[in-house]
Amino acid sequence: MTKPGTTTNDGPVLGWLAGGLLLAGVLLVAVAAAKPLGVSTQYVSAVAGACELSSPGACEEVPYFRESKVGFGYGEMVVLGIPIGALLAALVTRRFRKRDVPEPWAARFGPSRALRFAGAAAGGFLVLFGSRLAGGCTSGHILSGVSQLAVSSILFFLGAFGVGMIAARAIYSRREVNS
Amino acid sequence: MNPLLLGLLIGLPFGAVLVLSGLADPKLIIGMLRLKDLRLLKLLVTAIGAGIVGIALLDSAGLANTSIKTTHVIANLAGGAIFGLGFAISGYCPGTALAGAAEGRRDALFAVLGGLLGTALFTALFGFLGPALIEPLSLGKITIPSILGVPALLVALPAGAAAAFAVYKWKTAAETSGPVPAETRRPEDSPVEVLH
Repeated sequence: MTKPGTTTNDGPVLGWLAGGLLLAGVLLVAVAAAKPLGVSTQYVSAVAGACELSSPGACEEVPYFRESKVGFGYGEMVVLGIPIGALLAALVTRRFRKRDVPEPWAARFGPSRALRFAGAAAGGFLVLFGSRLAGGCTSGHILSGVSQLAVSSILFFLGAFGVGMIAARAIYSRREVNS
Repeated sequence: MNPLLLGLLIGLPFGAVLVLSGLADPKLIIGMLRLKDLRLLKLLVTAIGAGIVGIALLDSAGLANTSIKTTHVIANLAGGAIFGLGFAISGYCPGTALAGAAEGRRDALFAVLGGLLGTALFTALFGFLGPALIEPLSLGKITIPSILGVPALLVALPAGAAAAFAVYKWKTAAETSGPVPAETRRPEDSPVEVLH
């Protein structure tokens, strides 16, 4: 099913309208059946799990783990479902393909895989640190929170997209390669 | 329903939509942040517009399990800013990194690993950051309607109408930004049927 060469010059399978409505559909089902969507809290559960594995018993007292109510329950299963659902969708639509360096990054920083991996790790580090500081991420704050008209989420959205837009412009602007 | 099974049943379509809609593609995320490719911006306006109206309607019917996050002005803004910088660098957010990794994007795996380290650092610094950045300027679980002292639908319906109007405009205007994939043409059934 990995078939490079075939011009999967991939636009997304779903158009933006269908994608947006389906995303809202998932959110509404979640809100009706359980609670709003969220992902970044489960990174805390994963870290707590790793902590528990490496030094059993020493982690229960960590204040932030308590604050975050870490464990393995509904929210963790949602987050576990994400990569499984994504994998199934990619296989069914024949879009599963090994990819290392996204286009805008390659256009700006070259094809080095190691550099991209380092950049992605640094970016992911900031994304989760910021999410935990703010109390949520794109799912919890922007999708779920703004949909509930929460002030905290609107502030997060303004900070995230304000800085994100400035940073993306600063980072990727040189050597423009039109895609 | 068993909460674990319910979680899985919600996570599976969530992950599928993240991949199929292009949200897990850093090229489209970065294109959105640079305002060069507005597809995902339109998608988010659609999703949030429909979400605002849908949640308000569910809530007024007593069917919504809402959960408002406490407003911590400094932490929300500063956390958002740090998030935004990382978002621009990586092109991923916590959920889309997991989805992207599952469709073969190996850089997304590194974003997840970096994210776990960032979470660990925050955990270690929480004792300091809590009093310094989170607790000051905490305003409680406030929403726009609660500040205005009006029913949620009074804010949600106009917001949804604005989103629906934008969606309508985008759909009727000739698509100019990039090659448009096979759009699943729907009639203009905006999420809000309650337009003025």
